[in-house]
Amino acid sequence: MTLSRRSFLKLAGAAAALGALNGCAMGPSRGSGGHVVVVGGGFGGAAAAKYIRTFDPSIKVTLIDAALSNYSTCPFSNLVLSGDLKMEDIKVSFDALKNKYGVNLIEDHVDGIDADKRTVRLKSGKTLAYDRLVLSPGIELKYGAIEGYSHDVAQKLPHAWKAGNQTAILRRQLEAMPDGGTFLMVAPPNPFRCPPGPYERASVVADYFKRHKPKSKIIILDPKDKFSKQGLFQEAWDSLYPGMIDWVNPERGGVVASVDAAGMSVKTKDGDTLKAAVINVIPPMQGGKIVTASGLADDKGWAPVNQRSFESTKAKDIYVIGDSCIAGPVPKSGYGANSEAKIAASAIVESLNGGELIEPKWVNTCYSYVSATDAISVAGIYELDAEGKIIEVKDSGGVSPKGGANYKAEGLFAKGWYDGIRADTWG
Amino acid sequence: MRSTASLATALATTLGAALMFGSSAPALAAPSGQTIGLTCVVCHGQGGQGSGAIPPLAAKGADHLYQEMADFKSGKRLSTVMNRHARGYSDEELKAVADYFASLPAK
Ligand SMILES: Cc1cc2nc3c(=O)[nH]c(=O)nc-3n(C[C@H](O)[C@H](O)[C@H](O)COP(=O)(O)OP(=O)(O)OC[C@H]3O[C@@H](n4cnc5c(N)ncnc54)[C@H](O)[C@@H]3O)c2cc1C
Repeated sequence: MTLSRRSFLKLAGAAAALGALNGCAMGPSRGSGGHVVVVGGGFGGAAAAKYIRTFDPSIKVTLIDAALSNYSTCPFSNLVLSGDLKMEDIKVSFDALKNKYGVNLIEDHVDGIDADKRTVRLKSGKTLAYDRLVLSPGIELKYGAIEGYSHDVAQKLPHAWKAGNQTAILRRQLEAMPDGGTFLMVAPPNPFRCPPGPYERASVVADYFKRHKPKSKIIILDPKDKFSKQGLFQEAWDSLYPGMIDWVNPERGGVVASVDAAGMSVKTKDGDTLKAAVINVIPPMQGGKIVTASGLADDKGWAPVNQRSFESTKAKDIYVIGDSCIAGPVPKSGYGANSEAKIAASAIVESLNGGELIEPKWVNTCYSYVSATDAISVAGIYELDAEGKIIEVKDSGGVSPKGGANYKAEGLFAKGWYDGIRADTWG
Repeated sequence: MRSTASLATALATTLGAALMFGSSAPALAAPSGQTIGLTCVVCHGQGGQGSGAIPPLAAKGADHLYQEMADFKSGKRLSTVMNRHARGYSDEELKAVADYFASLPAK
């Protein structure tokens, strides 16, 4: 294609202005066209769809999610369990993605990918062609890893590790539990979605018990020797709920062998049987099924990706982001998924426009409530090292100071974060 | 179209780098103000407009924004979480992200 001098100068001028501002192009009106299909409308997928359309509105984006009409956020779902929020408070609308950003929405399940033909096959029977594919399918729970646990048993012993109906079931059980009952949580092994999540859950449920069922107990059976923000959580438990929460590490018998839904009990590897009124089983997990079933995962079930672009190292033109991908020290969090989505969106726009990859940087901040109003946080800032590995920037990030002086302020900032990330992802 | 875009990009990158670093010396790659800024808006609101108790950043003076971040980084000023964040960036990166938010319109 030949270009008139005038339009060339116009283009070059606009691009140069952008380049001057940004160091590299990551801005609107690139103009390549093309079709990007995004699978999964959660924290990663929705942000990728929005930012691809923002960086280059000439690119058509189709977002497919099986749960489009009832996606609820896992963040803040623990406050539903404690009765401080309602189910509708964590529900998400996709209207803005469609109306404001022009993303095509399809509610359907993606059953398979043909990487050679560059098509995806939907449950409804349709086939869709793509130029670039983004996968942000979250996690698959490995029910079979715990004897006696299954998708069906999860209706009685909920995991509530995907928000929605599971959250509502666990809330109802906690509400129905008599004062003096035991809430038992089976915590997952590493790596898993939201490292501080189980301990935030124990904290806010303890706050609910303190207010409504003060004789009740919480037992966490944990296959890990340590956990995220442990010092801060345990400090909060000691001061806010003395004697209520018993965290059982592997040495004390925290590894679970089997669960018995009929008997409402859990058997540990050490041979002890524990009965409880409410049992929350968070099983081991791996990358979403579409990732593992399409040969995009490693032998542990997570997708290796180029750390600068998030393109799969196993298939061209397929990008995997969010919980399903391997991103070094970036945790499997909503914030992490959002941060990865923007880097992948830029990489896709550049690849369709024949541009260069930008120099990336990622951020994570995970607030955890230790009560209905008080919160703690962990922050991380990440960059690429000389070998192209993601590393945490030296001497940066870390957790809140001990002592609880910032509890109230961080409780307010946590809410600001939640509204902010919802607006940035779906708004 | 493809060749046009890549030509423009190449030019943009070169010009951008030249403008930013003021010479033809090959510059060390650094994330742009926008790349960094787009990780901030998760908490600080769309276009840096703030979100609840989290303050806005848009249209604040670049010098002011940079100084605040530098003070968070050195510990001269204390915050709940910003000291931990500020230590994740070089001086150049803090300047770039300050310029980015300074360039965005106030509400
Ligand atoms: C209790 C709890 C609390 C949490 N709190 C926080 C927090 O405070 N802060 C934070 O940053 N993170 C938090 N997280 C983590 C956060 O929820 C996840 O990291 C985040 O959702 C990951 O985003 P994702 O896009 O990878 O997956 P998801 O958000 O799970 O989205 C995946 C989507 O893909 C769809 N999908 C999957 N496969 C297919 C298919 N084949 N076809 C069609 N659709 C498909 C699913 O329906 C789903 O909607 C929490 C998690 C839990 C469980």
